[in-house]
Order: sequence, then structure tokens, then C-alpha cells
Amino acid sequence: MDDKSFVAEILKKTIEKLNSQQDWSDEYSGIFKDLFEQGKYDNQEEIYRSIRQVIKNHDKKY
Amino acid sequence: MIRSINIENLRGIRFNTNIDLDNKSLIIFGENGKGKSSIVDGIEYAITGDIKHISSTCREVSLKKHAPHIYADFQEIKVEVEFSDGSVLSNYKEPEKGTLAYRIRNSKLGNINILRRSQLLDAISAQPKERYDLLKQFLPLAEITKFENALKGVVDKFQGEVNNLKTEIENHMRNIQAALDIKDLGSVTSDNIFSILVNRGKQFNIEDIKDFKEIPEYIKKVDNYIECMGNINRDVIIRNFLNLLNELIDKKSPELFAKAIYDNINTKLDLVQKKKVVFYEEFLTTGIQWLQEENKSLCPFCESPIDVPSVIERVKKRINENSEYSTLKKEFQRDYSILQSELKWWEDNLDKIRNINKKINDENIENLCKTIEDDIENFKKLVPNSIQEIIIVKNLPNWNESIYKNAIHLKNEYSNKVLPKDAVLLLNEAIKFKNDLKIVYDNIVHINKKTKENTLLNKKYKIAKQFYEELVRQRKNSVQEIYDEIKNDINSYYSSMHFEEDIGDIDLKIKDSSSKGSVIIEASFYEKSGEDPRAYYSESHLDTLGLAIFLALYKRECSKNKDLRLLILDDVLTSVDAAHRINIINLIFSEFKEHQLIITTHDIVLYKEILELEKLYGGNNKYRNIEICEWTKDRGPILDDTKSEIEKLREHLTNPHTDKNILASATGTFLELVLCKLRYSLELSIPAKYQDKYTIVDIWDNLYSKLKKNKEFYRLNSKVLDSINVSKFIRNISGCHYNEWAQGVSKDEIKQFTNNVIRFYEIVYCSICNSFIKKSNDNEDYQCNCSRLQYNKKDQLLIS
Repeated sequence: MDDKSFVAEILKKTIEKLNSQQDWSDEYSGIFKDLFEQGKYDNQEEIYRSIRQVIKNHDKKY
Repeated sequence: MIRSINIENLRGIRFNTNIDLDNKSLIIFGENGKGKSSIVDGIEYAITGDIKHISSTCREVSLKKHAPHIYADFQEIKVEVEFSDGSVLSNYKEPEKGTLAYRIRNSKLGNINILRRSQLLDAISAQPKERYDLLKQFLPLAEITKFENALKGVVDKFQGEVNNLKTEIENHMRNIQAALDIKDLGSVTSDNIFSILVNRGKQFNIEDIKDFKEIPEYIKKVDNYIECMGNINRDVIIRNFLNLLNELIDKKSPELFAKAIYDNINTKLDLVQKKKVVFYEEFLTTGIQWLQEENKSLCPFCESPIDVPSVIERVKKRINENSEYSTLKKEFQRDYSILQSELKWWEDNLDKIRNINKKINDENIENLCKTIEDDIENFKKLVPNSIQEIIIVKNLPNWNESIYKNAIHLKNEYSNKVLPKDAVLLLNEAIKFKNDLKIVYDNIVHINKKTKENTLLNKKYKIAKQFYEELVRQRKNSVQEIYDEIKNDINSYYSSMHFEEDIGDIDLKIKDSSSKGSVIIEASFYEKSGEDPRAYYSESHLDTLGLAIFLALYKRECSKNKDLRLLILDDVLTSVDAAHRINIINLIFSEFKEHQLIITTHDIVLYKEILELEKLYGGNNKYRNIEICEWTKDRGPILDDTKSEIEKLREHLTNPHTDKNILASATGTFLELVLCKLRYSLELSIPAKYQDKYTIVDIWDNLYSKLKKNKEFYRLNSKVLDSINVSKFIRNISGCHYNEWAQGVSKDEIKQFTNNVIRFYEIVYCSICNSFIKKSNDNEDYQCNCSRLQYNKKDQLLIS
């Protein structure tokens, strides 16, 4: 198994676990899923920006 | 499978070094520093584009700077690995899609299939955390590590922001705490703040405050209260002015001090006028001191000899006669100083009163100041400042009595203007309350704003932290799954390496406590189980433990990646003894028989052992052996195909051009090799020699007599044995030295000697099981491992 497949597998397990928790929203998992698909999962600034964005959107909605 | 390797200008390799493998495994022998690892580096670089032991050593060592040969640039490096389908992986060209080279390049193997000696002990001896990092190299963790690091950075950043905000909120609370005099920070609550504000507001009869939003309105109400109560600032000024007036009224008139001076002088006016020119007491006193201290005998003015005691006596007499005047002068100076000091006080207070009057602006106060000012000037003019220049004015200067009268008048007037004491206290309290309200309001506005920010920030922090922690947990679980998956293989490999030893039960466990990851190794040692192997295992046992873990990880990776059939072991068996390494090589050859192996060693004995073992696993059809004969800085390694010693000897024997001395030497060397092996297998009693440097003579006689005692052996092989016994001298005279006697030995005689040695080898070494005959029991019966060769002391030779 190559390194990226390993990340994909762990990411999948992580999201599955977190989605089953009450205090976690699918939207949050979406951040990391998208970042992985865009190959930006190792970019600190991108993660930081995405989390800020999701909270901002969430805040506007509710 | 690799078909061929080409390396140029990399590490210790200068000129193109080509190795044709033809899909065979490769065994490389070379002494230290001959370029073995450079070949491994070349393969690693071609396959992965990296040489990890260089690129990950430290910042000072880099691939770009240290991968090229010392006489070459990075751009001059050329490495190529050609695979069985003809595709090539190189450092200069991408492989074609669909080829084996392409699949290998894109499978991102890392260096899962390359194990170097240095990695072995490091992984076992390290602390759990470092060990995790070392074993990480063999796991697909590079990308997940980048992910985790980036996430950790985000978590830390959010945490930093949360902490900063928390500190800011705490500071705002501290401001409120200080303003409202609340004992501890924990009590700075909305309820407490309201309660304090309502209580303080009550004393000003202001209605209760119900909401923080009402504070600005509330402040206005307090302002109105202050305004109604009076001007507290003016009150403070008036109170200061009254204090000054009180001091002034109590102050004695300077006229009293001036009068003392006048009275004193006037009573002794005659004395003053008489002495004022001629008597200088200070001068005379100093003159006496000078004459006495310096022991002078000349007049200081005309330098004529003088009678010093007589002069001193006369001067003293004069001082004595003028003592009254002297006292008067001192009294004058004292009184004059007092007067000056009094006038200074009036001057200072005059300034203070004028400053206050700038705010009050009262004409009467200015008039008072003017009178004081004029009187001070008058006194300065009229009072003499030296007794010497005194001109007594009969009329003493007057200090205007109106000063005191006016001061008392002003005091009465302004005393009526001060606010009552209670009102002042209340006003001060109201002013403080107003300021405190402002502080509370400003800080609450900030706290509310920042609390809102904090709620959002906490959400962000929580998302990042929760995700990071779960990711780490899942990664650890996955790594632990890998370790559990390979546990059986590790133990199976380890017991194959140490099959007669009561050690093993190896288990790799990920520790929960460390965020990055720590690996604990547990193993058994006789009756001890679950122990850290470093506590009990020898260095070689730890090496083999590392090797077993590596092989198990490699096997696991192979099961997932069918293209991975290449195992490279760079000098990994150095610390292992002969018996164990045979087990290990056997294990590797049998377990990975479908794999292409590249094994390097600097140990000639191990190399020979591997060559012997190769025969059991396909021999020349499966293995290619290379000996690095020499290495030079300018050229790099010089390679040579190596055949086993017996093959070399046979080649010498059949080659008509072989020099007889070379043949004698090769025969002797080979016989020494055989005798050394028999020495151990037949348990010969040979006196020990430094570094085991035995010659033929050292072992032969003992062996010869022992083999003769085995009747079957001797009956069947006496001709060979006896022939060697009588011709062994050839090794010494023709094989080693030049002398005339040696020249007398014919090539045929030497060839006969060689034939006998080869025959002897064939009767003591089994080419089927690759073992020398050894003692099978105490009766001096001999047999090989597979029992094809058996020489019983009393029975017939059996060939099964």
C-alpha cells in the first residue's frame, strides 16, 4: 500500500468515526474530504482557511 | 526483476559500472570502503529518486551535494535499472506507462525493500518514540505524517488564538475587578457586578440599574448629581488656598528677625566702626595655623627671618583683644541667615498663592500678594548683608501689618465658600462611581465582543483538535494492525534464525500516550516474557530481531504489491555468528526464493558460505556473484565475477597456460580452507593460534592421524590421503617461495597434487547438502548433513 492510499484509508476511518459522534457535523468532515481530494491535506494554511470558512458559513446559516 | 544496473558518478562510483543480472539474485563481496553500498545507493536512487540515508541524515548533508562522486556534479549522475520487461527506471527519464518500471516508480515503495546495517540496531536500541520514527521508514507513513503535521499546526494556531482571546477577556475582567474592588477574579460575575453597582447607586438616590446597556444613561444621571452638588474642583482649590492662608497668618513677621540684627549691631556700633577695616580674624587664625603646621621661619610676605613663636604669640594676643568684635560678627551672620530664610518662605508662598489665584481670579488676593512682594523687596534693600559695610539706618524697615489683616479677611471670606465635608465625600464618591461605571461599561462591551469571538474560535479549535486526535488514533490503530498482521511472520522468522533457543514471542505495540507514536518491543527470554529485548538480548540477537521485523514488513508489503520482488540487504549480518547466519541465509533463500535478492557483505567467510548455500537454491542459474577486487578514488569499484574456490582451482588445473607456481599456490590456499573447515567439523585438537592463522602443517598432521584411525575412511581414501601427506611440501616450495628446488618440481607433479586435493575435497564435502563431514557420535564416525557421505569407524562407506 502506498503512502497516499494509507492516508485515504485512515481519513475514511476517521470520518466514519467522527460522523457517528453527536457533536460532529458532516460539513466538518467535508472540509477534510475536499482537501484530500484537492491534494491540499498537507497544507496548514488551506486547512486553517477551510475551517474558518465552514464556521463562518455555519454562523451565517444559524 | 532487475535485468541490469548501470551506475555512473554516484557516491564511490566514478566510471560506468554495469552489472548484468539477467533477473538473477546478486551477491556482492567487497571489503569496507570498496563501493558495495554505492551500488545499493545507485539502485535506490534509480527506483525511488532518493537515497534516504543521505537525504535524511541532517541539514548539512544533502543529496545534491553528497550524492555525486567527489569529482562529479549532481547533473553528471547517471543511474539506470532495467527490468525484466525491458523498461528502465533512471534519474533522467520517466518510464513508459504500463511498464514494470512505471508501476514500480508510481507505487511509491519508499525504501521498504532496502535494509542497511545501520538501520538494524538503531531501530531496536532506540527509545520507543525514536523507534517509531525508524520503523516508520518501512511503513507508508510519509503522507499521513505531513497531514498530521499540518493539522497539528492548525490546532496549535487556533489554540494560540483562543489563549490570546482568553487572556484579553481575563484582563478586561481584572479591570472590572479592580474598579469594583472585587476580591477574586472568579467573583467577577454579572450578578455581582449588578449588585455592587446598584448598592453604590443607592447613596446618590439614583434608581436601580437593570441592564448593562443602561450604563451610559446611568453615567449621565451620576453626572447630574455631581453638577447639582457643586464644583468639587474649585472646592479643592479653595481648601488649598485656605491652608496657605493659615500658614501665612501663623508665620512671624520678618521684622522681628531684622530687629534682632539691628538691636545687636546698634548696641555695639562703636566696636563695629573701629574694627571694620583692620581686623580680619579668619586671616589671622589661618596665618597661625600656617606658621605652626609648615614649621616656617620666614615671613610669608617679605621672606625675612622671623621669630615664629613670638609672632604667633602676638597674633593670638590680637585675636584675644578683638574677641568681642568677632562674636558680634558671627551673631550677625547667624541672624542674617535666619532673616533670609524667612524671606524665602514668603517668596515661595507668594508664588503658590498667585498660582491659586489664576484659577480663583480674586483682586484682593492679588493685592495681598503685591503687598507681600513689596515688603520682601524692601527688606532685601534695607537690611545690610555684611557687618563690614554696615551703615546703620536708624529706622528699621517695617513689615506691613495689613498683610496679616488681609489674610485673615480672605480666610474668613473663603471659609464660607468651601463645601460641607460630607458633601465632598459624597461628591468624590460620585465621581469615582462615574469613573468606575465607565470602566465597567467599556470592559463589558469588550468582554461581550470577545466572548462572541471566542465562541466561534473555540468551535474552530474543537473541529481541528477533534479531527487531529481522531486521525492520530486511527493512524495508530492502522499501524498497530500492521504490526499485528506481521507478528506471526516476525516470530516465525526469528525462530528460524534461532531455532534451538528459548527466545522470541516478539510483539510490537504502539503506545497510546505519545501523540506522534511510540513503539514498544516485547519479547521473551527463557522464563522471562513480555520484556524489552534490549534488557537481555545480545547485539547479534537484536540485529536479527531487527532483521526479522524488516523481513516481515517486507513480506507484508509484497503481498499487497505484486511488482515488489526485490529485497536488498546491505551488510546486515556483520554481528551474527557463523551458525546463525547460515540459518538466516537459508531462511532468506527459502522464504524469498521467488524474489530477486541483492545481498552485500564485507565478510569473506560469510560470502563463501553464501556461495555454498546458493547451490541448494538454484546455483548459477539463480545467483550472480560479484567480488569487488579493488576500489580507487578515480575509477570506483573494480568488479569481478567470483566462482567458488573449487571452481577457480579446477579452472587453473584445466587451463594449459596456468603457471605451475600459481597452481601450487591456489591448491595450497584451497587445502588450507578445507583444513580449517574440517578442524571444526571433526573437532580436531589443534593448539590455538593468534587470529586463527593456521597453515597446512598446523592442521594436517593431526587430521591425517585422525582420519587414518577411521578404518573405512582410510581404506577407501588412503591413496589420496597418503599422496597429499607426501606432496604437501609442494605448497611451500612452489606455491610460496622462489628457490632452485622448487624449480625442480614439475608441473605434472603439481597437477597431481592439485588432483589429490580436489579428490580429498570431494570425499570430505557433500555437494548435495553443502556440508563437510563431521563427527556423528563419540565413536569417531563421520558423516555429512544429509548422510550421503558416511564413514563409520568399523563399517563400510555407505553412499545412499
